[in-house]
Amino acid sequence: MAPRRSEPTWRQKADPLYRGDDAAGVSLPDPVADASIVRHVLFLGGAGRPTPYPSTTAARAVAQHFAGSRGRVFVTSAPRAKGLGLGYIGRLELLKLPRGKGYGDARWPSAIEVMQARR
Amino acid sequence: MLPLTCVNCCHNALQTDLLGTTHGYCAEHRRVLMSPTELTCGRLLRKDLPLTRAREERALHERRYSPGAISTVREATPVNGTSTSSSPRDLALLRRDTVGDVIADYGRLDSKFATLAQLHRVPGPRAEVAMFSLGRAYVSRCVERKGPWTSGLHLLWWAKQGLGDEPQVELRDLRAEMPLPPTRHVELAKWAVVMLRLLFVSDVGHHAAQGHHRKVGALSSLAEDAVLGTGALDPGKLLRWIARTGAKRVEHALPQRDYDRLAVSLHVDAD
Repeated sequence: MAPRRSEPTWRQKADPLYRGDDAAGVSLPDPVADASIVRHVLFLGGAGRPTPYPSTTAARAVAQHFAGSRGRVFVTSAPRAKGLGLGYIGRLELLKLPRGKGYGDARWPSAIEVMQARR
Repeated sequence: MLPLTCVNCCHNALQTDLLGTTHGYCAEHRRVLMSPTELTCGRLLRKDLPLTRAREERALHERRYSPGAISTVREATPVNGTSTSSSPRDLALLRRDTVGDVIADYGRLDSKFATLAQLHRVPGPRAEVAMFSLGRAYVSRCVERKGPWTSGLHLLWWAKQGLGDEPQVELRDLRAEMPLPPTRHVELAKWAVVMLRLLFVSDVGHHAAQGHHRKVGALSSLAEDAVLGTGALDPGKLLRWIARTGAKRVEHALPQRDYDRLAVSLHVDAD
């Protein structure tokens, strides 16, 4: 029997990043907005709240989920984003932050909300 | 924007982001939701948030979206019949679903509580999600209208009885494609069901604390403490915390004799 191939690992320098957003265009980040990751992920503050984070994903299906039936999936890459002056926080690094009441930019008064953001 | 949509609203008892049907049903506007991931309204009461935050977010949400009409979440424009339906044929289809059949009567029978009591008798995680989603909205509204916290008493008792039960989530209960192994999808759905139970109990605890009932009021932090005590998106850990700690706290807050006494006084008030 041939050995089973595992799925290729996403490569930060080479592979694309996807974002599901409104069909009209990507929502622009606000560099001076509240940096709370929990606030960003849970959309606290409501629709249209300013955020410094343009979230992306390595999985096109996830981006499609967020785009919904009326949105669109946009494509970029970590090197391209960095070249435009954006910082990049990878998934593994990001998942270290929302634990308990959060660390760093995921620090938040409610553990429930931190966990929901993590989910 | 899924957290801001009908999928995540307590008034849509058919769905969570992970579990339920493809179409939703809004018990407030009494309409089948054909594209619930794209819709919202100013009455949004989020399933995923603790009560105080859910109410704060509802107030912010109402500034952008009318409470009187279902709107698109992106453009905030009221939708027409292409996104929602109240047609007899679509409602008849809703009623062929066991949970849908019960929630279609929410607000139509003598009391909304009658629907919640019916949901309590339907087995399965979807019925439980429906009961506690609508239950959170029901009790919150009762209290906002100056009613007693005990409007949630029987629901709290039912929550207590099933607090440590593992939700029996199967593949057929899952909603939406997710790039997750099915086993992980099921685990996250189970976690969300148990968390909704705990959030409901915490809601009632919050209302009881406002009503100066110290014992039940002590439950207002139950969900938060459960998350702090487990620290993981693991339904097994959550249920073990309940077995070790959570169930005892709820038993202490509402033992049988207190429930019986409060239930009698509810009955007297109703008379």
